[in-house]
Amino acid sequence: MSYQERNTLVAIFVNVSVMAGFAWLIWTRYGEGAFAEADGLAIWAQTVLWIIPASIVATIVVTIVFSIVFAIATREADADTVVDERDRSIGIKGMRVTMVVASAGFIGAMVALAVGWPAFAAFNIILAGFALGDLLGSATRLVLYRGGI
Amino acid sequence: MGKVRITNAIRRCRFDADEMTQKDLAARVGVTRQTIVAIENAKYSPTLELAYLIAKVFGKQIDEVFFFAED
Repeated sequence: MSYQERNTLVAIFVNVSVMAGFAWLIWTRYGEGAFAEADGLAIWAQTVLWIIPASIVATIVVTIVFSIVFAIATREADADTVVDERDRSIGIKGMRVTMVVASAGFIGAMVALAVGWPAFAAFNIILAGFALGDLLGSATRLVLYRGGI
Repeated sequence: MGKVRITNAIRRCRFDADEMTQKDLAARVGVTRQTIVAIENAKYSPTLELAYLIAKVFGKQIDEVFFFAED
């Protein structure tokens, strides 16, 4: 398993963990009526802004832990961290999937607003589109690493 | 026009080059070992630049290492 392939696995793990945590947090606060007030969207935005640095830190920590575990398991101290043309090609294909799904999320949010759904729901659809796009982009990269381009 | 695939003789070239390892070849052309594995197994077609670099390592012309196969 290459360094980039491992990073893709880490990205999937962190994405699923962070978004599950975020969904639980939002759902709990929603149940408590935190978003029903006038500043509901402000509270939602503050939660999202905290999620971004949290996911970056989680990615760094999990990447380091995963690298250590992998080095111990395989006894390979010199991890090949080169990023080559195949990695870039796979990355572009994964990014294309991410952009398509994220765009679909944005359009879905516009449709939701157009049919009268609240802004709170539309913002959540946009965020879900980004999260799902990132997840599917990573999954695409993993499939291409395993199956070939 | 049918499906086009670039095949190669990298495995034989490595054998002829005193069993050069995939890792050594990867280091000499600046890619990962996994990319060399993917090229050898026809799971990835290299760019023209990388194909030239690989041929150069073995002291061969590009068409002695890579072949244009149409099926």
